Amino acid sequence: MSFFDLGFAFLFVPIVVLIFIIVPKKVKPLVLLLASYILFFIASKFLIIFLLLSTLSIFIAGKKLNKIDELKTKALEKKDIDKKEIKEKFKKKKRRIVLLVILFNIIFLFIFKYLKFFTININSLLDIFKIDYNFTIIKLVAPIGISYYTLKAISYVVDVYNGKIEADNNFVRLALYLSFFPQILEGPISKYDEVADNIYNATKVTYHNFCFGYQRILFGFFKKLIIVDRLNILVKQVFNNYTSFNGLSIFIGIVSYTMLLYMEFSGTMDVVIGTGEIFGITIPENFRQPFFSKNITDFWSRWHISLGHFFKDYVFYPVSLSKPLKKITTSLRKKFSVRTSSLVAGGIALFCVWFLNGLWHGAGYTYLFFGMYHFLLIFMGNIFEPIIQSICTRLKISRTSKKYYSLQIIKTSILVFIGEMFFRADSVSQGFSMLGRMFTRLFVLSKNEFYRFGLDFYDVILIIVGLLIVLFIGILKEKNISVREEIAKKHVVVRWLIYYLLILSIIILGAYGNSYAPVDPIYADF
Amino acid sequence: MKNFIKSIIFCIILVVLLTVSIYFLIPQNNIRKYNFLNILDYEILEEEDNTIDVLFVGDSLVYSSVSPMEIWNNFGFTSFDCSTPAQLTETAHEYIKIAIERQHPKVIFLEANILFRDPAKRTDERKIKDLYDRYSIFDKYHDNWKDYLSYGKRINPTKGYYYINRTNKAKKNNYMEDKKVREKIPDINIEYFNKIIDLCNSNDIQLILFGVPSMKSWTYAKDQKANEIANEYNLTFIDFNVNNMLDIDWENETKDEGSHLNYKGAKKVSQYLGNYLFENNLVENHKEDPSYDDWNKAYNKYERLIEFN
Repeated sequence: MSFFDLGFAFLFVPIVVLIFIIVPKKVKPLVLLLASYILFFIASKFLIIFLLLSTLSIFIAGKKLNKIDELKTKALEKKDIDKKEIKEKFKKKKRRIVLLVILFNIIFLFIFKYLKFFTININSLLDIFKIDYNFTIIKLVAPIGISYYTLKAISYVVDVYNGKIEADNNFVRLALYLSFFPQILEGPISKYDEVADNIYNATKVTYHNFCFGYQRILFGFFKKLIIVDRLNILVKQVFNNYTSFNGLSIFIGIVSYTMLLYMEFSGTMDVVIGTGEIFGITIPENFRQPFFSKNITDFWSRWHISLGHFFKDYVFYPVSLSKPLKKITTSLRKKFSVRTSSLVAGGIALFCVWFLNGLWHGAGYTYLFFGMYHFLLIFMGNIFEPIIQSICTRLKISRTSKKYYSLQIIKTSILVFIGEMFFRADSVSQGFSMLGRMFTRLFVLSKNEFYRFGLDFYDVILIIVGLLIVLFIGILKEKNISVREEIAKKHVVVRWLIYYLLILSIIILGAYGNSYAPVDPIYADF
Repeated sequence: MKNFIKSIIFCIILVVLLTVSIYFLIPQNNIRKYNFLNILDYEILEEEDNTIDVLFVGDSLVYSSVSPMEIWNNFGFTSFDCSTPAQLTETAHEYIKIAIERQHPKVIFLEANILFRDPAKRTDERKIKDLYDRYSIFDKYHDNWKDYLSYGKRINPTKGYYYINRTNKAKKNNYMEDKKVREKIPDINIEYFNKIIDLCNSNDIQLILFGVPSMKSWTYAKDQKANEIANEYNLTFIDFNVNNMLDIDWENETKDEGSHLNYKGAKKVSQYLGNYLFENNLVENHKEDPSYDDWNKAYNKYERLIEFN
């Protein structure tokens, strides 16, 4: 299933909108929930049971946590008691429930997503130790969006446990939070307090929201059909036949893959956010012009923002503030400087984040490598920051100048391109081979090398023009200018001309039909 | 209310713009001779008059299994797949009738599977799909602007063939051994089959029946019936299914578990049919004829399609 199927944006969504408008206010959340479950059922059939189990598990857990809090309050009202001991006792109870629910949800994710990978590796280990036994490799088709709704489920119970939010007593609201149909396939992994009320209380489809929502959806289609499905041809050629390409072509291939990934995922987010907008629901942004980033940390605060927030809030901080790590930091402070001890403690937490980030993207060594690559870049960045700062001061280089910022953008982009190359490669060794070939044969060019990209002249022009349009809109966004608001202020003739141009360009210039193979939703597989 | 009227006006203008763009995008070659809706139904009308020597008529099995461009490249024969999804014998007759008004084919290969398709059993789902196929104009022609800019006219690179290189292996491979299945040719199909034969006879066209390799659509009983019909009407029947004549590898040469062939399978069928035409000296080789230069351009486009998709 893809949000770029015409059936989704131009049949499913309008039908839901129509029913949503007709039904009474009280029933509206039920319409959205039913639509979400129908869509899930269309894509994953009876695997919907796992989504329901997840929803039930966090609903019950929330209620239990509430109950424990009530009991704790009552217990604390009694006189002549050791309050600290009681608090600790109830905290332990709550922790047990939270851990149980997290485990319950993670087990499904593990079985569907990682069991095959781990079985293969265990079998390889058994072979190495010459143990004559192999586990059967079970291939399972995962329910759609399991990687996304599982993280949302975890964030909900942890937030309830930490007292950040109240446990929800309304099953429909909680179920909608977990399964709201635009978000189910590729996120964003929004937190309960960011969207749950917003979705549940959606009551109106206004003319403004309808138009703005569809404009955003169309922009997603533009990215997908004009850019992504064309770049796909080039990317497939370079990655599948990299030994027959030289350095420059491989570089073009990896830049194209990064652009493809960005356009595909951000284009999907345009459809997701636009669909939410139609119902008056604000779904948090998942991208913020990532190619204007100064460094890798900055990049990850602009790319797949919701995943970054999840790992920061539910892995980085809990690990950093955990008792064992605090002990390590304290003992290190006795021997080394405060900065060194913080670096080590932060490094450990950072390692956990990036190990899990890599693993979340997929069960494979390329993804783990991708995670470790970013861990190293960020960790090294933290180590070298004071040195770079002092060099810049000594050489009187202004770190706020435009030139310096431009160089930072170029450096960050190149590092990102290399990371994404490993991400796309079939194996880590292929990634290194491509990297080696790229640098050793940078200025070599064989006959017909660019022809073998598989794109004709018009495809190349359309990709470049498409990217420039997205870049231009990105620059305006970076300056806090809303393109859609600006267009809305124009005279109706200009406004409609822009909309017609957008629609006709997608229909006439889009890469679909017999001559193009569409890209499957990449982030839906993670 | 004001917004509603605005939306209606917006949609009307959009429909007008789309209709205008359709006019420019669909093949210009014969647009003045035919209503463009006819061109959508009968793709062969895009072709220059009197350039096609062989027609392959049938359903999806034909457009998945016979690639006219492979035949052109290997033998220099011009052919066209006059096949449509789930084609009926009646539709096949209509297609041939329309096609031979502008073309003078010497040979028509009629796929035997369509004789068994009962028009009375056509499902609503199929009817909706037929409608979609007919009106998916942009799906088919939106890319034509490239041809107009490069060649000044549309160059059809597939000539009715539907290229798919995906492999989805078949589960069983003994489909011709199941002798329990009964098959019947509906009377209405016999009626239109006779009309096709009459059309061919009156236009001096050799009609050949053929059974495309398909595990899911073909059966032993169909094979028997098709042989009976061929004998009764004194027609040649090329029977690809019996004893797996082309040695189809059902693990690698089908795109959908044995129902249709993929490109690898289609190459085998096309090679056989081209060779059959060559050995029986049925049609002329136009490879060196400068007036058929568009076929070489089409082949270049086809080659790119195969190489990069």
